[in-house]
Amino acid sequence: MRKWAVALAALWMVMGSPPVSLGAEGVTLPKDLPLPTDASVAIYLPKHIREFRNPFRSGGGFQTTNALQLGASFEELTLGAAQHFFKTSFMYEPTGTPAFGLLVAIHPSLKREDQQVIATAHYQVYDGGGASLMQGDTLIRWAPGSPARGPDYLGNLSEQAITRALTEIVAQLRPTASKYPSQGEAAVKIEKLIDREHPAVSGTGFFLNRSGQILTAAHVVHDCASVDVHYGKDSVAATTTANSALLDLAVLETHANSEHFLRLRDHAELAESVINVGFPLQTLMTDTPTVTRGTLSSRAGLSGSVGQFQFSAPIQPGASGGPVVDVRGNVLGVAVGTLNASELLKSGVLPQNVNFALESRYVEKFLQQHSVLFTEGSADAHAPGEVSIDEVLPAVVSIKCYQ
Amino acid sequence: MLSIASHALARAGRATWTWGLVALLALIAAVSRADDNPPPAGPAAEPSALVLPTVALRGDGAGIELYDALHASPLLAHLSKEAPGSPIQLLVYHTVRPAHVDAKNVFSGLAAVATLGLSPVVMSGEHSMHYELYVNGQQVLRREYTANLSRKEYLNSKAADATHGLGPDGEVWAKSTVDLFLKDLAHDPAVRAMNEEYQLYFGNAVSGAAPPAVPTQH
Repeated sequence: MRKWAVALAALWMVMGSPPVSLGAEGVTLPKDLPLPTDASVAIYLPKHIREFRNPFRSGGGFQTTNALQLGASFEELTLGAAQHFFKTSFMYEPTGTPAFGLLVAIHPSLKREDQQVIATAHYQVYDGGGASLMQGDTLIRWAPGSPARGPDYLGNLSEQAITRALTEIVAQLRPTASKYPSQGEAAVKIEKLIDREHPAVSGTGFFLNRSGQILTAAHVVHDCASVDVHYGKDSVAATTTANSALLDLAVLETHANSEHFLRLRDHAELAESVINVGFPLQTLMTDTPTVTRGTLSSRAGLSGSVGQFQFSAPIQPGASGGPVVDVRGNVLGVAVGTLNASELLKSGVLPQNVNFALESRYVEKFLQQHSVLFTEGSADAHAPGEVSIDEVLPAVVSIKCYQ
Repeated sequence: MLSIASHALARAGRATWTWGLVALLALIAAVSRADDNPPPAGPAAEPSALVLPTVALRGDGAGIELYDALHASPLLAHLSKEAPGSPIQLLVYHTVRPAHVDAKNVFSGLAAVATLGLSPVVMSGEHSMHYELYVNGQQVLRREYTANLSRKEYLNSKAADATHGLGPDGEVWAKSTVDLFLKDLAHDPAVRAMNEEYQLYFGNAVSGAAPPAVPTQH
C-alpha cells in the first residue's frame, strides 16, 4: 500500500503544481488592459501574518521550508499573485519602501463556520500620494468534499481571496504607470493601514505610578504598529519606552493621569493567597476585568526557567502582563505563562491551574534599570490591611496591539 | 552523489510548490529518536570565552541528533533537551526545498514506479539546516546553512530512515554545520547582549531539573 502511495506521489511530482488562475467570479478583467500592467504596487501585510510559523513538532521528521515558515510562504504567495497583475510588486515596510504607484493593504483571515472554511481578505488601496482609492472584501469558501489543491488548501484559499481582491482592484482602477506614477516619498503612513477592528494581540497591564506608566508583558506589545490602553471608560494610545524580551516585561508610556496604581512586594511566601486580575479572551468576553483566586503554589517555575513562581489562580489567554497580587493589593509578580494543556493532554496528562509569574524582585530591578518610578508595598506577608478588590481593579488595564 | 555548496543565508527566498515531491518526502519521513547519551569529548571550535546559560534545545529528528556536537562546545555547555521553561531556546531543524523537476528525477520516478520499487528514485533538492535562537519567543539569531544534495530512495524500503531524510552523506554535512553555527553564535553582538542581560538579572543561575512540560504564553 505504501509503495503505491509513494508511486502515486512520484507521478504527481512529475505533473507539478497547478497554475494560479487569473480573474475571479463576477469580476471581468478589462480586455484592453495588458497584464501585467506597468504600474508598481506595494503590498502591506500585517506582521503577525508575515511572521506566522507552523507549530513546530519536536522529533516529527523533516518538512519543507514552506510548510514550517507559513508567514514567509504567504508573503511569497501574495507577491506571486501580484506578479500576474503588476510588473513591479514588493512588500511595504514601515521604513525603506521604494516608490510605488499603488499601495494595497491586505488583511487576510481564515475562520471555520458550519464545517466550512472561509478565507477573507479585506483590502484598502491608496495611490502614491496617500489618497484613498477604494476598499473591499473578498470571501472564498471551502466545504468538506470540495476539491482541494494539495495539502496546503488553507494557503490556496487565501491565495484565491487575494487574487480576487487584486482582480477587483485592477478591474476598477485600470492602473497604469502614467495614471498612478510612482512617488518617491511615501505619503501613506502605517497608521492608515492597520486593522483597528481586530487586534493582533491583546493582554493585560497595570499602572505603576501617577504618571501613567504601565507595566505589561513584552510579548503583548511586540511588533505592534499601534498600541491602545483601555481603562475604565477611557482609552489612550501608548508607546513602549522600556522592554526586555528576557524578562518578558515592557513599560508603556500613556501620559494618562492615573490616580490608581499598584505597589510592588518582592518577598512572596509559599502558600499565601494570591489574586490575578486580567482581561482574558478579549474577543469573546466583554471588556471588563476577570478576577481569579488561588495560592502561590511553588517558588519555582518550569525546568529551565529563572525568576518565576507558580500560582494556582486560573488564567486564560489575554491575562499575560496582568498582576498577581496579595490580599493587600501588592503585586507579587506579573503573569507570563501557563502550561500548554492541549499539548500535555496528548501524553495523557491534564494540568490544572499551573500558571507562572515573574517575581516582583526582577520587576523592580528592571524598573530601576530603566529609571521607572514605582512604589514598594509592605514586605510583610502577614501585615494587616486586606483591601477590597475594588481598590485594585481601577489600576489594571486592557492592552490591544494592532497591526 | 553529494554536491555541497554550504553557505549562510539571511532568509529563505524562493518558493517551489511541487506537491508531489512534498508528498513523496513526507511519506518517507522517518520518526526521530531522542538520544540521551552524554556528550562526547570532541572539540567544537569557537574562539570565545562566552558561556551561555541554560539553553533549551528543540528540533526535529535531524536537529536533536546534533545535540552532542552542540553540547560539546563550552559555549553551549548548558544546552538541555529537558529545560522547557528556559527563556532561551535553540531551535534546530532540517528542511528541503525541492529542486525543479529535471529529467533525472522524472526518469527515476517513472522507473521506480515501473519496477514496483526495485529501481530507486533519485531525489535532489536544496537541504537546509536551520538554527534559530529565541528569547521568550523573540528571535535573537537565525542562521540557515544549505547544500544541494541528491540521494537514492527505494520505494519499497520498509526500514525507518535513521538519517531523518538526510542520507548518509547528508548526515555528515549536517554535522559540519554545527561548527559554522557555533562561530556565528559566538560572534553575534545580539547574543552577547542577551548573555549580558541574563548575567545582570540572574547572575550565573542555571536552573535545576523538574519534570518536562510544555509552556505557552498567555
